[in-house]
Amino acid sequence: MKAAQDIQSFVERVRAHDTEFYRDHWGTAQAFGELPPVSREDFRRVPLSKRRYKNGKAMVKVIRDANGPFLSEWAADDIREELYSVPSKRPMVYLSNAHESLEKGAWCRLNGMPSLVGEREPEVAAIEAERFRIDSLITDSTNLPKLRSYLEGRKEKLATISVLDTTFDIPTLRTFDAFAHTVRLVLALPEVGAFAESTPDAYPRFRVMPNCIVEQNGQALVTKLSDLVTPVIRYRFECAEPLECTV
Amino acid sequence: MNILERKDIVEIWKGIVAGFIAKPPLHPEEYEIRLTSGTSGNEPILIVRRHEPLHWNALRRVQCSGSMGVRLQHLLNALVDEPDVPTRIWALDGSDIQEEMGPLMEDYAPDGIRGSCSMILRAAGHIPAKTRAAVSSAVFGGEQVTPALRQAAERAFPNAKLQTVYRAIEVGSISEEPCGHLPFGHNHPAAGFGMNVHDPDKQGVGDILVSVALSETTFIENYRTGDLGRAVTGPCVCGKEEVFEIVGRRGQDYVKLSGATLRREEWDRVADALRLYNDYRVEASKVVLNGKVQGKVLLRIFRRDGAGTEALAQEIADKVAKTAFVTPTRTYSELVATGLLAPLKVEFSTTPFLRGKKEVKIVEK
Repeated sequence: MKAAQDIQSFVERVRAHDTEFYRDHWGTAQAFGELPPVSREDFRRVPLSKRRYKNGKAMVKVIRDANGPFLSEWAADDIREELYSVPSKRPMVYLSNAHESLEKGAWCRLNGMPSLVGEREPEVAAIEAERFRIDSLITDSTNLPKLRSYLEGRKEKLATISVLDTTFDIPTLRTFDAFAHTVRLVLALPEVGAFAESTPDAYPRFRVMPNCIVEQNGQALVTKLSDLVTPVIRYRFECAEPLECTV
Repeated sequence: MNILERKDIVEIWKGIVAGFIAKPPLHPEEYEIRLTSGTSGNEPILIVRRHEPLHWNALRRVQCSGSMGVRLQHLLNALVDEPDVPTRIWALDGSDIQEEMGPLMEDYAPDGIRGSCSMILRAAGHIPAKTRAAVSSAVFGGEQVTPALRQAAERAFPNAKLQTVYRAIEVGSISEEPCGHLPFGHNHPAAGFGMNVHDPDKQGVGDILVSVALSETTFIENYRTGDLGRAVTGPCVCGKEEVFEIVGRRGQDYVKLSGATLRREEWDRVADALRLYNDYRVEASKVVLNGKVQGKVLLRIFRRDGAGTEALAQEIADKVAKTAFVTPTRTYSELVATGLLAPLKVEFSTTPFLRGKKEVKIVEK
């Protein structure tokens, strides 16, 4: 974990910012461990323009769940710093959510790779993957099975399949071990980015990514020590089953 | 003159892609990969193109396109081009377009909207009037903007400068960004593009042929894009001399219409399968109802036996609508159920249809 001093100075920087979102939310709480957690409801309740902590080149995406939509903004520099996948020559992004797909397509570009985002229809995405001879895949639990036929038809294994999600069906994911040298399970939320990773064999043990803090004391909270457009500090998230997050 | 057709381009692109894979460039991140839609009935083409910068001064952009490849290109334009300009972009997804989008769009406060006119108008129906009034630039591309669509766009974005761009995925942006001085629908060719109008008629309208470098080592000459256009005489106020106008699609063997694609071969198939008429013509149009764009299709048919009652017209309309696929997986009647298309209308023609050189069967009105 980052030195407590670094964490506290990050919190103070956010508190001192002109944008009032966190200052209002925290009230008089001072120490990191005492800060009231934030949740999707807080992001949904407060418009993006009132929780924007920096200006610059950015993409805006809609995040929607059963309780309604809200906007999340990601600066180009912040997208680049994420650890969604590992470098490869010809990656393809194929996620079930269009906004997430585009963001990860930009991530490829910003990390020195050509960018290919698969079209929605699996048959079309398979044509793209085949013709471009992709060597890695960035996907999620919903979309990965849609490419099974394509993967079964490949002569060589992919270098990596990165599965970005918050729930992982391990028995199903294990069946994809045959199609890649490495299957990465990446714990990620659209408004948070990636914050921990694992493999089907290590599940449910996750390694927390650098600059991230995961707290699990009755509720799961994630903090990213990065100056995001809307910083993520003690953000409450839900997982289908308890995870063992280690640094 | 040797004219390159779509099938020639397919082979050329296969060679370029193979070269990219065998010997990647020094900066592979500068390349974007995408597949053409294949909606024209041709084989889809995989394109590996160097990122094309976009010079558009909108700072809070909304991009409207069904294609992920097109959306990604515009996302990268916003994130990568002109590093010091704080450009934001919301690449709209079809699922975003619903009632609850209004407050979000109000919060985002766009100043520029770009993409397919039909999708833009569909989105406009859910954007508050005040937010729409603050949009200063609306740029349309990817489909023909009919007068009805243009009028609807003028109403939706009353303070926006409405402009068009012309591009074909397989060759890139054929027009440069609008200079601001040209009438609606007119454009200047982009740098690096040679343009010719082949075999023009009395109005000067003919096939658009383009010549351009597809890659660092591949230059194509006289590629027939499939669109009809004309050269406009006289220099523009901006000083550029070359001006062109796109007027439609050659042969009209397909028409894109509110989420549907009317393909000649599919309507031929349906005619053969049902055997309810001897010849047909399809007239497609777009109408704006309560702020939403809806596709309308009139099927004009000729029967040698001369039969033509109202009940028969309805029976044929029902059967055709249930048989004709207008997307890879959905029939005409299924898109009627979603509200994207109006019910199919059938009219009888008492005389056979004239057969021209190109035998146009599907037209957009």
